[in-house]
Amino acid sequence: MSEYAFRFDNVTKRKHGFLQKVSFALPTGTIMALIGPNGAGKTTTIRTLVGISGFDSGELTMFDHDVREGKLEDKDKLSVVLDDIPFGDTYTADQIEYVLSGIYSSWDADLFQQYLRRFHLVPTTKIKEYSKGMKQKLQIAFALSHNAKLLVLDEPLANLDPASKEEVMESIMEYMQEGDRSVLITTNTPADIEAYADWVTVILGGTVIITEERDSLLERHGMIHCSNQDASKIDPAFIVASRRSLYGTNILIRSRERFVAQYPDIALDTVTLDDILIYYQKGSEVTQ
Amino acid sequence: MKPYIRTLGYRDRSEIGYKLRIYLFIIFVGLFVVSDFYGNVRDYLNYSEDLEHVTDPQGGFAFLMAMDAASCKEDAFTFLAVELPLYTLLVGICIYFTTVLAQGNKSGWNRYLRTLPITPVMRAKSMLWSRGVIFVICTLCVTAFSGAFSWVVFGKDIALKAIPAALITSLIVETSDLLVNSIVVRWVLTADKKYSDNISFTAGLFPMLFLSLGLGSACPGHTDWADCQIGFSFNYRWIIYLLVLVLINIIGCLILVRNFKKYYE
Repeated sequence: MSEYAFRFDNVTKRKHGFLQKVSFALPTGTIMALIGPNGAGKTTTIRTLVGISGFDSGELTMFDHDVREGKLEDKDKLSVVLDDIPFGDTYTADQIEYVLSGIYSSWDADLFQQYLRRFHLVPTTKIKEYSKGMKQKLQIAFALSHNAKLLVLDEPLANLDPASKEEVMESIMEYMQEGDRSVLITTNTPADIEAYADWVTVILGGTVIITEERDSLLERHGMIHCSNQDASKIDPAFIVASRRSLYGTNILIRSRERFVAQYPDIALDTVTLDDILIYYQKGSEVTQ
Repeated sequence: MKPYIRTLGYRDRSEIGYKLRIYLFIIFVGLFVVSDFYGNVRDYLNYSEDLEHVTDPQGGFAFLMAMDAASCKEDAFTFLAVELPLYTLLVGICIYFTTVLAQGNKSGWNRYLRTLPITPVMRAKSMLWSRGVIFVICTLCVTAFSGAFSWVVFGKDIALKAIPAALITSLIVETSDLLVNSIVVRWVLTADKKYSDNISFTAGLFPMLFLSLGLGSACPGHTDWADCQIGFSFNYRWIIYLLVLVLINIIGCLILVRNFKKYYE
């Protein structure tokens, strides 16, 4: 079993999306959230990973093979959910299953039917009659039904209601119960997957700025809410970004343990992935 | 090879090249219909009393030749009543195949295909397999229709001659179509390995169908099937059709390749 499901090593891409020396890897058996604002490079990263588009320099391996080789056995172990439904609108789920079941070597028809029932999808209904959320769930049902080793999902929860989000994430967690499977999920609303992700990678402007285990990432950051006067006394080395208003300042700090040791009297709140994304993305600012 | 693979070739095409082909195809068929009507009506006016002249074919379809004769024997209105619905049906079928069967989220499907474990060879085979099925269906349909029509209009004796004639014509037409498609596939596969996985193997499928119809009709050996006499008939209209079709296919293929290169680079 490969140590990593995939590994980006200084991957740079200049045309049709931009990536600048992207380096991160997904350890086998884990779920990674790839988070970033719109246009940060999440979809470009996925397109590059799954072979939809190429890259200019660096190394990118999947299951220890260069993705540019496009090995069929690697694609057989890969499931992809794109940001838009790729299937023809006039086809039904049953008809698409007919096509895809023969393409993947370990297609599980029973499992697929189970997912259709679970997601409340009628297999004989034409896709054009599905809502956006149903189309998204259909893609996910296909992706989960051929025992892939790597599941790559581009904004899978974007069009789903809260109950459907939970259904999908539970399905993904069940899929993960076999230890050799890995998942990469992109989102621009990290709160949706914060509870499920083992690893978090933050991408901004085509550059990966953080790739770290979720628990470690959340533990080494903290949020303080203080007066503007107190805020000015904090060592800038601890400050990731701050948001200052007339009523006080919120500061995202790094190196939580050292901060607590240095400022034992300042209360420190926990942070969420949303906080981390917002503060890293927007930097320090003053609001009215 | 598993049967479901067949369907793949029909959905993988570039948006611009695809639309352009449909528009050109419709324009071409429109011109075809108008010019053929003109030719047939003119023949009716010239030869309506002389069935011997009428058997000079106006097109490559055996069953249409029968209709030509019918139109001249009876009157122009009969001809219009028979041929117009048939052309409409033909155009409708082609539009159905090019828009419904080949439809879908084309760019999305193209992207998705890149993620699937499918080889160019599998898809080439799928296309040829599909063409093989069309080959059989078209041949049988044309033969059956021509036979039935001839029987009703001309009676048993002519029909018994028209059936093998129609069969041979269909075989010529369909074989040339299959060959042209095979050449396209081979060209695509060998043109540029980097992009071959993404280029539509059905590029030119329906224009090629008409190209081969034209070849089948314009080539020496074109026959006066109603009398089962082999003759030579280079019809100027078919030459124009051929040139137009070749042009359409060259433009379409260039656009396809350019778009795929642009998309995947």
